[in-house]
Amino acid sequence: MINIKHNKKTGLIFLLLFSVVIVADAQDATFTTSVDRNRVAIGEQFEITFTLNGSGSGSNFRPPSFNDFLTLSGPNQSTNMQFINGAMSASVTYSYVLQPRAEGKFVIPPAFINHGGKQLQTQPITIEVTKGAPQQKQQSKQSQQESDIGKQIGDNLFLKVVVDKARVYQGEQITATYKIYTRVNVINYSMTKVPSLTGFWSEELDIPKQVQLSTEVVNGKQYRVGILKKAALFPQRSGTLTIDQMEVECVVQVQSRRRSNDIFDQFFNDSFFGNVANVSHKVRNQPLNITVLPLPAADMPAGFGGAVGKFSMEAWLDKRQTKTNEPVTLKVKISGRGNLKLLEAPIINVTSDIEKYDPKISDNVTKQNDQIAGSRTFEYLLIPRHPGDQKISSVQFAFFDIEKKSFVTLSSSEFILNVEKGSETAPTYAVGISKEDVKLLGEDIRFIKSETISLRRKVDTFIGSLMFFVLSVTPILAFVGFILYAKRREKLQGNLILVRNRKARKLAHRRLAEAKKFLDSKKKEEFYTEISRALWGYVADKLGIPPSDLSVDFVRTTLERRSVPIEVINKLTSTIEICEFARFAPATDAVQMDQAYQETVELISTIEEKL
Amino acid sequence: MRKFWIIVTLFICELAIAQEAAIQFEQANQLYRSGEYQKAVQMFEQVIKNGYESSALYYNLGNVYFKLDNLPASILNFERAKRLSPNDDDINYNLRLANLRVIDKIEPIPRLFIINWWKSFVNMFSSSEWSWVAIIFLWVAAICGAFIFVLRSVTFQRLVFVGTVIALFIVVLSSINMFQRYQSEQKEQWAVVFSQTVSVKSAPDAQSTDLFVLHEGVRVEFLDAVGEWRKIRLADGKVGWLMVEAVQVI
Repeated sequence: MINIKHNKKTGLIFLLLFSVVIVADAQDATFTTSVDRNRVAIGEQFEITFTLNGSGSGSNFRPPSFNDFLTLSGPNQSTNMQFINGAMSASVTYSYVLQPRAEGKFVIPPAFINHGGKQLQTQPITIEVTKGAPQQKQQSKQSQQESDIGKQIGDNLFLKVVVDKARVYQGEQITATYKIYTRVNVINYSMTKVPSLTGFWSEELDIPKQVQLSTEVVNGKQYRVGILKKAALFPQRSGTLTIDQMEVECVVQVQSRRRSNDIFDQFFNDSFFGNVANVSHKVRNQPLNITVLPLPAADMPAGFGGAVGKFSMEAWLDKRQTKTNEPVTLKVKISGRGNLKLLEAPIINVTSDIEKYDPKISDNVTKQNDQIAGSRTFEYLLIPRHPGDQKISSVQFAFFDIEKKSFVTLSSSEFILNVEKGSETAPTYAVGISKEDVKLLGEDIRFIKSETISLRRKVDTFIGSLMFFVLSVTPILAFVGFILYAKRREKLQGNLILVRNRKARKLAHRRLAEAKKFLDSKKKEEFYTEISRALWGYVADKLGIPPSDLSVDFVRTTLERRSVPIEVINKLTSTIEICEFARFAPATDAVQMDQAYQETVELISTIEEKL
Repeated sequence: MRKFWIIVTLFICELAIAQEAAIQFEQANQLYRSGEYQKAVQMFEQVIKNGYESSALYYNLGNVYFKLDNLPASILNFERAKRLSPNDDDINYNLRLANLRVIDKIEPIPRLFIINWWKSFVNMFSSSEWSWVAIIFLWVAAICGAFIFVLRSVTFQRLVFVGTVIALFIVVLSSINMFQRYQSEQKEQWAVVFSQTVSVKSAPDAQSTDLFVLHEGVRVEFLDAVGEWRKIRLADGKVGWLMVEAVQVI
């Protein structure tokens, strides 16, 4: 695109032509709005200005909403004061730079301001947004001339971006050089559009301030070549990335072919006088595609943080000995070539006894020979909280070696930090102790004990000792011995009474069982014999009466003496009598037999209880 | 007869040495009272070295170490005292106080209340005290048993019989308690961490991964042993391996 700079008047006329001036409904103050043009193309900018003219300044300026436009800047406020014939007039302007979003006609609603107790408002303003560049139509005459000059300049001036490699790994450095090739006289140039370089992390490389020209031959033509910009680019993602356009506006001296009516112009317009004109000419380079290869994901080490290049690592502690709560610094210096400024801090593994802070990062980067090189230092502040030999595991740093095309993991040695107990009096306690415990912390321990009785030899445990066995076995043996002894004594001393006493009940039961058999087989005589024997036998055994002394009377008196109730004694004698009598009775009375048996059983258990 | 005299002589010697230990213990207590903790430690340790122990001795030594700011040694001795007298109030109080200064806070796994009751019941007496209870009631049971055969009255016989059964029950119960206490007293299954910090590993191997870090004063339970390594468990149930040199057995 060629744009000839006319004298400034033209621009001013345009401004006046397109500005819309609306006088606000106010006596002494006017509030107006204006735009620098109301026909704009998409992508172009325009300025809208709200001006308050009058004595004093307004307050509470409320701009309209620019919903259909992109606000590029604003509000930009400026104040202008004048004194004419002693009267002050001031004008306050609020301006915005807007860019349309879409095609069509848009109305910018009025703005409001308070002035002198009144609310002033501007008129709405219409903006027409066109697709193309509207100037071209209006400036068709000029565009003719521009294309003329464009032809003249042609391929004598162009911009080119050159890279050192077009296929790189993600994170590998590319050096991009923007060069201008010229065969015409470039008086001046300015960069109007800086490449955005999306997808790259870029670092500007140093170029001489004064463009140094060299010569290069392209397509058989010799050009003067100047380097405008040089950048180290590090692709941030894989795929195809584009190094986009840069636009440079050059002021070029060209031979003017314009026919003028001016006689002087005609006269001077020949080669001798070299009727030259300074035209500005915009040049853009062709976008360049870069193929970015992804790093081999399969071999990627765990701690890989995106470092690509060639690095070495150093790690050291500023001191190996410290006290609790006194900080030490662990420095990790990574130096080499590559995307140094993108290096992530290596992860430091310390025990929970050491408090670790985020690293302080300092860079020392040089750009010699178009290579980003140097070092990045990470300083980790470590504060040991507890004494002891604290281990800091080795620092690991992984990067992709661009020369070997493989991952490399560097690791430092392990560090042992000797931590002594610090001098501070307040010890650090772990969190999570209860209120009660906190109270206890201040308490003193209880006083010592002075009892000496329990002092004993450590090896002497009572359990398993001889004494223990003697004491625990003795009662068992004594008990068994006692039983044996008692039995033997009974036998030896013929203490039959005692034996009889103990066996009385057993014997009586045996006899009763026998009687029961006879009862069942209805043998009357044998039954009664057995019953009376059981009774007599039991009483004799229990009372220790020899069989020779056994008589009803003797038994009676003995039982009375042993305080057995009289009813029981009566019952006993009557039962014995019944037995004696029934033995020889002719009839067999089953009911009577049964009754006699029951009574005997009862009697024996009653006497057993009473004695 | 000569044998008898030898035994008697040995016994008297024994008594004399015990007397000396008691005197040393008393002297150490005196040193503690006057604040000469360093000397008191030596004196107490001498008594222990001579082969004597008591809960009071360990308790006092724990106190001295506490005063000297030697936390692990203090806890070790309090724990030893506690092993001998588990239900002693003073010991438990001082142990709790010392444990508050331990860096690692270990929350013990809560036990069922009934187990706690049983534990404190078992801990009521030391193993030898329990053995005395068992022996006394064994005697009671034997005497009662003999009386069953001597007594003629059925009523008394029954009474004595019930008494015998109760006595025998007490004998069985106290024997169980005796064995439980004896085990916990004799088995070297508890230890206190003495290293300022020690990394507990996942396996008995220095190269294995660190599981967690312990600091001085933590009580651990031994579960297993491989060479110099001990498998340990914390009160909160964490398990790992550490070198035996990092700990001292209670």
